[in-house]
Amino acid sequence: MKILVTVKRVPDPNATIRVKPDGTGIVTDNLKYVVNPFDEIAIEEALRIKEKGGGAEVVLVSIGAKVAQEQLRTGLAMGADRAILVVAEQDLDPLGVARILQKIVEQEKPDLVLMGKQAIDDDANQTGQMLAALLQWPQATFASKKESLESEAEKNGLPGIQMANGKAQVVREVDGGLETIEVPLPAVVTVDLRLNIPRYASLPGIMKARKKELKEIPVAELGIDVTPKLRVLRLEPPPKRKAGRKVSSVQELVHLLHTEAKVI
Amino acid sequence: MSEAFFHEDMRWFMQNRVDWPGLLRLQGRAPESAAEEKGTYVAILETADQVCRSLAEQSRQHWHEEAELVDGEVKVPPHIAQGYEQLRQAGLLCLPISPTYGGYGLPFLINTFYLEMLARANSSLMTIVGLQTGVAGDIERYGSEEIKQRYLPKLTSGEWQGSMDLTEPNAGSDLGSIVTRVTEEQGRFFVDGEKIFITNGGSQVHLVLARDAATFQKTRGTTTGLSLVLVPAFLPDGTRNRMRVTKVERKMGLHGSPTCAVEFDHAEGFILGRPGQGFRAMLDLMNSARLGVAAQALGVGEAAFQEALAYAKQRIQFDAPIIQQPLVKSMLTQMSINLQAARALLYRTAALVDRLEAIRNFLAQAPSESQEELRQELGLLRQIVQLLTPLCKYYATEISNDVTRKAVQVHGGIGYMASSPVAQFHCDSIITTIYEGTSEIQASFALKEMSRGSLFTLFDQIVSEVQTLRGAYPEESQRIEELVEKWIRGSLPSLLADPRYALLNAKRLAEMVIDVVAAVELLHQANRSEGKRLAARSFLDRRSLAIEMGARRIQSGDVRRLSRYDKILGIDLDTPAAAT
Repeated sequence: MKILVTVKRVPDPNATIRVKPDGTGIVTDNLKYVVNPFDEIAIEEALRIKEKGGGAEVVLVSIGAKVAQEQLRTGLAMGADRAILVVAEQDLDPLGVARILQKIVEQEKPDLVLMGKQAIDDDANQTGQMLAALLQWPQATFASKKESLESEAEKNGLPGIQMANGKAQVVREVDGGLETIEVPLPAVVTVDLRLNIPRYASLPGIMKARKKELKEIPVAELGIDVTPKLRVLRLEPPPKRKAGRKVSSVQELVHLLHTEAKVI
Repeated sequence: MSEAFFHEDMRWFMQNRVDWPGLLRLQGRAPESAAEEKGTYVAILETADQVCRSLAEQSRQHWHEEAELVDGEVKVPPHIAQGYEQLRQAGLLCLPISPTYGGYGLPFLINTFYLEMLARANSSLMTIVGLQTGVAGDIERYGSEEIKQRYLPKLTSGEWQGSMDLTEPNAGSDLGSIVTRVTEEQGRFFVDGEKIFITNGGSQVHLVLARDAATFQKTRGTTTGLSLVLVPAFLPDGTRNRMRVTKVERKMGLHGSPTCAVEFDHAEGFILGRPGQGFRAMLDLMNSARLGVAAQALGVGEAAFQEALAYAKQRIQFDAPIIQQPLVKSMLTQMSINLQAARALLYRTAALVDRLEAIRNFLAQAPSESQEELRQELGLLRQIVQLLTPLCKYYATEISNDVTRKAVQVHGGIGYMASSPVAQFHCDSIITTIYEGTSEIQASFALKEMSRGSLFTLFDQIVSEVQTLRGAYPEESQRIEELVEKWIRGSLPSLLADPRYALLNAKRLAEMVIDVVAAVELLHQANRSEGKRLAARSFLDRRSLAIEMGARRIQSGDVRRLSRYDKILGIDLDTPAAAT
């Protein structure tokens, strides 16, 4: 069994993001970068399948500038076996990313591709679906599980995705509940937030990760067109919240909600 | 708690103020790997950050739970045991110990960051981990290979913990009064005596300072004739050693950290280093422990500051958050600047310790005729580190007492409630100015070091460093130089007149020297942001006045001040205290 897990370098979700005055992007000075939290869950799930589900090789893949090595090292320190970095300095859109991943899948031939359902920087939520389509593989999106994150199963590090007889059973988060589906392997599975609580890299893990293989592939070597079909026109910060207003009576409040705010 | 445990000051310092390639070269490693090494340190501190965050939540809730003595065994509260287990699983124990014995060989600076973060999360747990690391470090340095093989792997894996047993009922600050004795019998060593106030005294590996029986009477009352003895709770054959914990104290704070009385009844031990030379080995352990306590104090101070800042932003009085009150804003600003200054001083010292150790190890292996330059640097570094260590301990812990108290003040009545985190921080902070040598002992140690010439070595370093900052900050540089030359040097003649007068002013002088070093270090950081520049400026403005005032106070008096104090206090030293 081989599991390919995608890893994207994204700004720290706890950081305060500021938009450049000209609206072409965000201010990146002093910005801290982390593994996309959804991808971290995908790494954790792959490691659990490896540890509790009868072994697997876990291969990480990232696409981006050379500095994305840092995030791959984090994943290796968590316990992944090796990593691939497709070095691409240019902007990419989800379809471009899916095309690159398609090439890597063709080279690596994994049984399962695990991905975060989206990255917290542009929140596209498209790449997994596009990759499945390009590969003509089945897909299961928004993988979750029935057990809560406080449950014994979670404390014991059991995987939420069940792999058996060449199939993956996936519990999906859908509107109003959970849906269980089964997909034949190979397949693409994208994971949601409530699938697991990722481990942190232990110190022995960090030390071991330094010796693990991290292969770099220039994107040009893949021989595919990754010119974005999508262009970001402008970024704008959300409008500043205005101060509230104090009213002296309930009657006045109701009156204003009706006449000014027009919500009742 | 909005701010990360692995905070910006740490990140900035390790990226900008440490010569990593130089350090690696001394260690016989490739200087080009500096970036990779730093990457590893960052990864480790990120992990520490995550673990500390989760520990912090636990420890607030369970802060009141006390360590106890149950059937002769020391029991720590569940949150301490679980927290320790979490650290053990993450591998966050004994970071500086060599990989040969199961550690990670990390720099002292990185461990200092870690201990600060851990203390911010749980100060009680930090004492256990800090001691374990210090004890392991001393065994690594002074133990025989056999002792190292026997004790280090279990300390690094976390199976065993360590403690350092110094204090006795009649030997507190004055270690010369130690009467616990170690007796040699046919090549084996046995310890008899009683130790009190032993942090984590229920540990498996005790380093005990004891007086050699053979020279007992001759050396009594001095620090010669003392040996550092490793006394294990269990002997190599698995039997229990003849020692026991007789009491676990109840305290004002640090409830999760067991403070014990330990009795040795002919317990077998193993001497570290040479018999009778234990004080030296103990001083090494104590120096690293002092910087450890400085880190602890800063961690607790930072925790209290973050609470106070968050509270002041959201507490509405007079229709506005109280942080908008000038007096509250001023308290918070001072807390922030003082923490930054103490941190700058501590990190500077910790980085110097790394450089010193690297040179020392390098020279120990290098041929003797070469390396004259390094030898000289080592001599200077020794002087400076020996001076800065007590100054760091003094300053960081005093600042921590002050910051935690102000954090209570910012909270008002709610800060005084037993459930208030800031009250807890204050209670945890108070011990830091006391243990590992009180503030007064630190100041008098620093004075002793200064009188041996280290003050001038430090000043030479500061003045030449200020030259490099002159281009960017002409006015500030000039002021720092003036403080050194005019005010501090100008005060020395008055101090030299009488050693008792010098001792009377030891804290005052210590603060003046600290202020100058911290000002330079803050100036190095001034180009980071406008906030940092203003902090450096504000610190210098305030402390210039304080230094000038201190100098004037020193220069205006002499040793007769002490006898005036007798009169103020109404005491007559000719009358024995017992007679009144």
